[in-house]
Amino acid sequence: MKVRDPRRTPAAAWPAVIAALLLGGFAVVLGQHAAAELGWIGADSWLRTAFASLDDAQPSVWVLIAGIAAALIGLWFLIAAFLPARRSHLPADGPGDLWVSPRVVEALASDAAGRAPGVLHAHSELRRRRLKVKALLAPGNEAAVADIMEAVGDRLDGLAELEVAVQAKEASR
Amino acid sequence: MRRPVADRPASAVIGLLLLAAGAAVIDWRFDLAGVWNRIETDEVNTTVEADWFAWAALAAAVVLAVLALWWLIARLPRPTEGRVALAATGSDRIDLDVRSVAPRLRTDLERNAPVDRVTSRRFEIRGGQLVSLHAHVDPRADGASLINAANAITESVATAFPDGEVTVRVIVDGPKRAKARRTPRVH
Repeated sequence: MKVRDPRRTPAAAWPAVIAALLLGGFAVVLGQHAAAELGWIGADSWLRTAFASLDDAQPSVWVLIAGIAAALIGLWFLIAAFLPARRSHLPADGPGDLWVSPRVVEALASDAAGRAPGVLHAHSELRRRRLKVKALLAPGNEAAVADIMEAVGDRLDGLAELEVAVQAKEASR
Repeated sequence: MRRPVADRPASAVIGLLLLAAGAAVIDWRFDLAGVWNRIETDEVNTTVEADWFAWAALAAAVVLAVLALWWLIARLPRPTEGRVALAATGSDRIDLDVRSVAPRLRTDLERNAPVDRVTSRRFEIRGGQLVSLHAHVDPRADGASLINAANAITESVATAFPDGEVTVRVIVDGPKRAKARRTPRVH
């Protein structure tokens, strides 16, 4: 049967935790109001104090700061609620249910490029479907670019359909 | 950590409420839309001072506290049931504890694939369980060896459980960073 792809943590995960805590906080405020009004505690109701301040011509600085913070947090919650959870791994070919992370592709490509003849150092970076291999070549090894392409292609064969670009720089003598 | 389905809709609703509250305060201070001037604070104060409001606030506090608690607890991981029922004939029934299968799959993967530090997790899926094997790749590996190992392990599980009571997934992550050397490398 079809099982869901491996995904990153959804953007809504942390807003949901904070929203749950905010709900809890609001429940405390309402509970304190009820307790104060029903005479269970001796303190004044926080809610009544807050509503009494609505008659002021302007909000206090702290209320304004809290309002701006609420608007920004609300915007963050709203955006996060609609962001899809991105796929965390790439599916490999074959009947096996194999998934590899972008870091695997980068590590294998860097190692393959680094072992190509004439390469002193190599580093890879995967962005979406584009693999960029940066290589430092030994002096007089301009032809190593083709070897790098071949080595990287062979090493990643079957793992993912990628567009490979090699950026080579010759080391100074 | 589990992801409750309520996360997205509830975050959107609470986000909208926060945005509205923030916008109201900003309008109160800067009088941008003039909405604040139209609010009748007398009616608000009368409502808050009414006898029934304290009881309504108490009921709302209980409901919101329960909701908040449920929402937080719903994301705590739950232990997955270990047993799956294999195909039965007549009154006989065989249950398999999948927890006994996972170590063998981990060992097989570690032995056959260029990976290390294999761990496993189990998920309940319709009709059985999915054993998800997580491993870290050896950077000297190649794609073909990873694919062959994953195919072999999938095939062995499919042979053992032809009705799909247990399925396996292999997830490979980047190499673990080597620990810092105590002595510098000498070339």
